[in-house]
This record gives sequence, structure tokens and C-alpha cells, in this order.
Amino acid sequence: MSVSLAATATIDTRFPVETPDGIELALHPAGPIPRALAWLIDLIIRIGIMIALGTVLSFLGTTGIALLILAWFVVNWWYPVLFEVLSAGATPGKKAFGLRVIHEQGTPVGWGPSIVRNLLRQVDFLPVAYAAGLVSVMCSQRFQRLGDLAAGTLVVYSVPTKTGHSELPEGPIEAPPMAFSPNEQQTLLSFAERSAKLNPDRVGELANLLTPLTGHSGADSAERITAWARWIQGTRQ
Amino acid sequence: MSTERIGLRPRPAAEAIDLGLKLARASWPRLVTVAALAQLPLLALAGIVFLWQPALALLVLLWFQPTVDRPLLHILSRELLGQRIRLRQLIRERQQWWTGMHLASVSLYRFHPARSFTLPIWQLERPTGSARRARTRSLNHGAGGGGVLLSLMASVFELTLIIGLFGLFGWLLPPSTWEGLNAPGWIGPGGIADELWAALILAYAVSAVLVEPFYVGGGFGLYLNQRCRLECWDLEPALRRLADRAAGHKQDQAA
Repeated sequence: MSVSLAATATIDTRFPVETPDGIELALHPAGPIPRALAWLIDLIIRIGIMIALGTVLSFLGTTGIALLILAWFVVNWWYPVLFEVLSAGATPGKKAFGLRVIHEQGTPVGWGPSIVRNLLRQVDFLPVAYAAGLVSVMCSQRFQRLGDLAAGTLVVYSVPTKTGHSELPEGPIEAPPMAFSPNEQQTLLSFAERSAKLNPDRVGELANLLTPLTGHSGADSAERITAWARWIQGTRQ
Repeated sequence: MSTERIGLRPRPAAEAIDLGLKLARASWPRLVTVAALAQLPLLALAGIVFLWQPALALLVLLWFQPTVDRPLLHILSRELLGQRIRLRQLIRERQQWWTGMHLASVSLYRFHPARSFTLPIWQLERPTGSARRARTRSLNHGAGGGGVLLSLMASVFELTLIIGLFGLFGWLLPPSTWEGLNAPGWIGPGGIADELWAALILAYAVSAVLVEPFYVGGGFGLYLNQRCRLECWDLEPALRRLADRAAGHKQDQAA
């Protein structure tokens, strides 16, 4: 028969960390899909740089070839490091997908860890085409490839999910008929905020769940809940 | 419906896929086992076709992957409800996952670009006819092509693993294994050697066993996210709990 999983932890993409200066942060580590695409964009950019350099340096003959090999070394090894440390943790490819590299503690990535994670790309690349990195990303709790694990870094979505509350539409304000717990207040606020963008039928359906409390049904019930939400928002400010 | 198992809230599409990947990850041994078992009859079928036409055998294996996805989604949907389902139960409940657009998914819709995102609608919601099309359209609203991207990247990752497996064995096997490569011509004017086809078929089967659970999981994550974004599905349990408490509160007041 089926076994209950009630005791196991909730699965979420959000990881709370406390920064050294004591601030609670929610990190959102990014999975393999945006990261692979970001890598592809960076690869295209690097190839573009090499083609441009090759065209210019071809006028210099053998010296040009020597310079080109040196340039390949710099572009291949230092491109990710320089962008990650000097450009807010993001290479152009990562920036395109809203990703950035940070330390596990949520602080901006420094030279050492950035160099380590990019040197170990060679290990993640094994046996060919990043198979090891892919397996590592899927095995680790926070989508870390081997280089990230060694350097203590994370690739996270840089766009923070909205924590503040948007304004509710203007309307009547009403004190709720009973005391709500903070979680319940949060539910009512979320409902009032998000119902503006919802299909009206669905809003009515959800508001009907609270009919015993609102004494109305459908849109009237939703209207009443929104009035309470305005009151809750007022008491919080 | 209880959704305590995962933290649901409206997310961007990429993060919704990540949530699905993590859901699949949480029960990967069971999913990979089932994916491997489901692969066996397909491999047997491919084996028979192989005797006749090796290239076609690979196509057969590839073609019927949507069938493998079905028990995986069934497991994941139960996992979401906090139920860990056993193999015997999975077989007993086969009616629930074997039907629901199954034939269409291996024929007309085989190359549906957002297959794993649409599968929960087909298999779990089961609307029919025009209702199904309307439902698919409305749930796609604002999905941002996440399902298509997921399918594309799942294929890329499968390819990564196939190439990786070939690379790994290329290193590990003694060089003498590969000497034959030049002599009769594995790839040459006579086409690709049967041995290479067999290796490719096996490598594909292995990569499919590893990737399909996460492909299904990612699509399920997107589906759940769309229900949160478009239907406030994540708020429903909390609203129900609130209504229950309010009912109790009223009784207290009356007493």
C-alpha cells in the first residue's frame, strides 16, 4: 500500500541563507536548462571574439598565429572569471537568462572561487560535452556542478521574487469578523492581490469556499474578502 | 487536495521546471527503476526489429518513449499528494495511466513540442474533444514556451549522455576493440555497422532511463505552476482550512 510522506521535508526551489552581516536572504538556485543555454550563448560570443581576432591577426603572419594562441588561452580561461568577478557575477550569457554566480552564503563571488569553479570546468566537461557536470547538477541539492561544489559557489536567478505587496485596487475597507493568524492574513492578501488577474469564474469559485464567513457568494464574497485584505494591509503599514 | 509536499507559488517558467526537476529528484530511484522496467518490453520489440533493420530499431525505441512517461507521471502525481506508490500498486492502477490520449501521444501527437507539459492534462485531467483543446489552450496562457524549451533541452541532455557514454567506453575499452573500426569500416560506403547501431540503441536506452523521469517531472512542474498562476491553485488548501476554522469559530460563539 502507499506509504505516507508527511514527515519528509517540503520540496522547494528557494533556499534561505543568512549572510555574514546577519541578513536573511532567499536564494533561488538555477537548474540545468537556463545554465546550459547561458553557456551556449557564451560559447558563441567567445567564438565570435576568436573569429574577429583571427581576422585581424592573420595580417601578422606567424606572429599573428602565436598571438592568436595566446588570445585563445585568455579568452577561454579568463572570459568567465573576469565577467563573474567584475560584472556582478554574470557573463553575458548568464545575464541573458537572469543568472549570476554567488558564494553559497549569498555574497558576491570573489577571484579565488571564480577561478576554481572555472578551472574545474574541465572536470565537469568529462567524458565529453559536460556529462559529468549534468549528473552533478542533478545530484546536488542546489544544482551545483563539481566546480561549484569545490569552490562553494551557486548559480542563482538574480531577479529576486517579489516580496513586497502590490497595491490593492481602491474600495471599501472592512474589519474582518474574526482574528486571523499571520498565515491566514497572508492567504487573504494574496487572494485579493492575485484575483485581479484571475478568470472571474475562478475568483467566484475560490471566494465561495469562504461563503460561511463572508455571508455572500461569488463576486460579492470576493469583494468582501478584498475589503478585509485592505484592512489587513492597513494594519500592517 | 493537499499540496504540503512541495512549496507551490507562482514562479517564472524556468524556476517552475526546476521545481519539477526537484520533485523528480526526490524520488529518483523509484522513477529510474520504473523507467528502466518500462524500457524492457520496448527493447525486446526493438531487438526483433533489429534483426530486420537496425536503424528502424532505434526509431521504434525512440517512438514509444511517451508510453514510458505515463507510469512516471502517475508516480509523481501521487508523490505530490504525499503517497509513495509501490510497483504492485502501479500495475494495479494501470487503467489510470495507460489510458487518456495514449494512442494519440504515440501517433498524431508523437512530436508534440510541449509533450511533458501537456501530458498531465491528458492523463490526469482527461477532458475530451473540444473541452480538451480549450483546456490546453487556456493552461498554455503565459507559459512562455517553457514546455517547448524543456522538450528541446531534454533531447540535448539525452544527446549529451549518449555522447558521454560513447566517450567513456572509448576510453575504458582496450584499444584493440576499436581496431576493427578501420578494417571493415564501421561507418563507410556500406553504411553504419550493426555493432554501432546496437551500441547506439543501448546508449539511447540508458540515457532515456535517466532523462525521461526528469523530463516528465519538469513538465509536471510547469503544469502545476500554470495552475497556480492562472487558478490560484496554491491558495485553495489554505482557504479551505480557513473556512473550516471559521466554521469552528462560529460554533464556539453559538455555544
